[in-house]
Amino acid sequence: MLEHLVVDRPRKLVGLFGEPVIFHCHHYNLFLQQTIEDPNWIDGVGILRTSAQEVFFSLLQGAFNQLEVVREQERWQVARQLFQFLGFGQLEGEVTPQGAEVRLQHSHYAEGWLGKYGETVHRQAPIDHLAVGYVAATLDALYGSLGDYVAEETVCQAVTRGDHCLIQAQRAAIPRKLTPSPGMGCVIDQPAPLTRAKTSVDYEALNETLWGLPLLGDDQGQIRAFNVLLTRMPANYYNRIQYRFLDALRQVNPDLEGVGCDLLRESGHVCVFYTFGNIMESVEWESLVQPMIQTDTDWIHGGYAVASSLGWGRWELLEIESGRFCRVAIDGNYETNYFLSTYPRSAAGACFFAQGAVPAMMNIVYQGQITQKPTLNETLYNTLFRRGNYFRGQEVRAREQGDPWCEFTATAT
Amino acid sequence: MEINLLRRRECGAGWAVDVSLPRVLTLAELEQLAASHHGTCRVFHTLVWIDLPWGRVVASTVTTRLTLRLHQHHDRILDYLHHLPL
Repeated sequence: MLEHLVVDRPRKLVGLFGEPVIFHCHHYNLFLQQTIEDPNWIDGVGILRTSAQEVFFSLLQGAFNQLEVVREQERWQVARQLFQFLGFGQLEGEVTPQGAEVRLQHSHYAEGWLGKYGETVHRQAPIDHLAVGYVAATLDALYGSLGDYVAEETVCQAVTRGDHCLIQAQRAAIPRKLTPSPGMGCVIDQPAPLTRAKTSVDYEALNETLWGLPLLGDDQGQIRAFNVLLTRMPANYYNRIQYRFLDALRQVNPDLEGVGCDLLRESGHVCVFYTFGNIMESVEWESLVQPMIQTDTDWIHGGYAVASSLGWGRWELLEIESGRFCRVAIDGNYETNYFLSTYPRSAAGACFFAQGAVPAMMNIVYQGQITQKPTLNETLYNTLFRRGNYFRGQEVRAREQGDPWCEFTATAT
Repeated sequence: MEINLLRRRECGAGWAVDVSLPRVLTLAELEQLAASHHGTCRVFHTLVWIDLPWGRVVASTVTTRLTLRLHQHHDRILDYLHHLPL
């Protein structure tokens, strides 16, 4: 599958069968999913499953068309390979037009959850909503059209503590009308003329090296690099679940939207704390990034050089004052590419992941003292961010509001 | 060669072992490590991935640290490293 990745160097995006794909780790995946599934006054699980079904249907259709795979069993093999390649685990089983019973092993979500929370929390409900949507999408793409099938997780490893999960799918009694993914979305015409703050970090050299790493699911369907468990996720899955989450909250009570935005920002903050914290403590960082670093602000530059390699778009650190302030541009952010292809212009900045990520990058370096390689866990997180005196972020320019690119600040409080 | 170990828990895969060495290993030494354990060695600028039958060693030609993700088979590589000259 690696050979089918398309790197759009000017925009720093990565495509696979017509869908933007980006790296995120299990810390972010789990936190974001929990944010959406927890409120019992919205159908969070429905948002997660349906969005997965829609986005993976588009990805699978793109794959089948591009690979010119026509026969049903060959298409099922491609679907299994793709699932493994993306880092979600392994799917095994038989599929027929009537439905499927699929065994999921080494589930990213279930094993990630057990590793992170398994010693302290006893989970009661299944966790593999993405895989449920994936299996339904596969049957849709094999035997019908989008929304023809429904699936359910009947055994979940995160609940049973066993060695596998089980997903059962069947034709829906009444097909649902679902919406395919918008693909690459509303991308920028060309890179904006942005001036990077002075640094010895060579973003483009790092981009090339990291794009060249063969990061793919291993024989268990797991991508293990930079000290974390990665997935190469279709970006529009994240986009769709976060914006539908807000839509659902707004429908219940418009006042809830602000809380939802805060939670999505927090998921971005959690992501950078764990993902970039772990990246900055990894041998990969020591080998590839650290030799370029001369000052403390270069740690932030290094973070954005890596971020630009993950398919997230073109992140540029425009201005930084050590320990006090930074201003970051994202030219062609993956969130905005989706937003502008799906919604009208926004009244306010809507890049919630980035709104959390930008202050988090400052926090991990200046509050978390990442250069000292602390143990990154919930204890440290809570110690750092419950005592106050940390960086807060703001989206000060927004492409989704009509600006040519998005811009964010992080300021020490 | 004297080595320092840090064993740490990783999500979904048990344990990883970080190894601190007194010096940087050469690419030739890393390639030899791979060859002597039926592995393959891939180089990405200064980053080196050694894929062995039991998992992966992440190494570097510029830093003294390695990460071993070899499930229960770390000892073979640690033993090999112990026998390298200072």
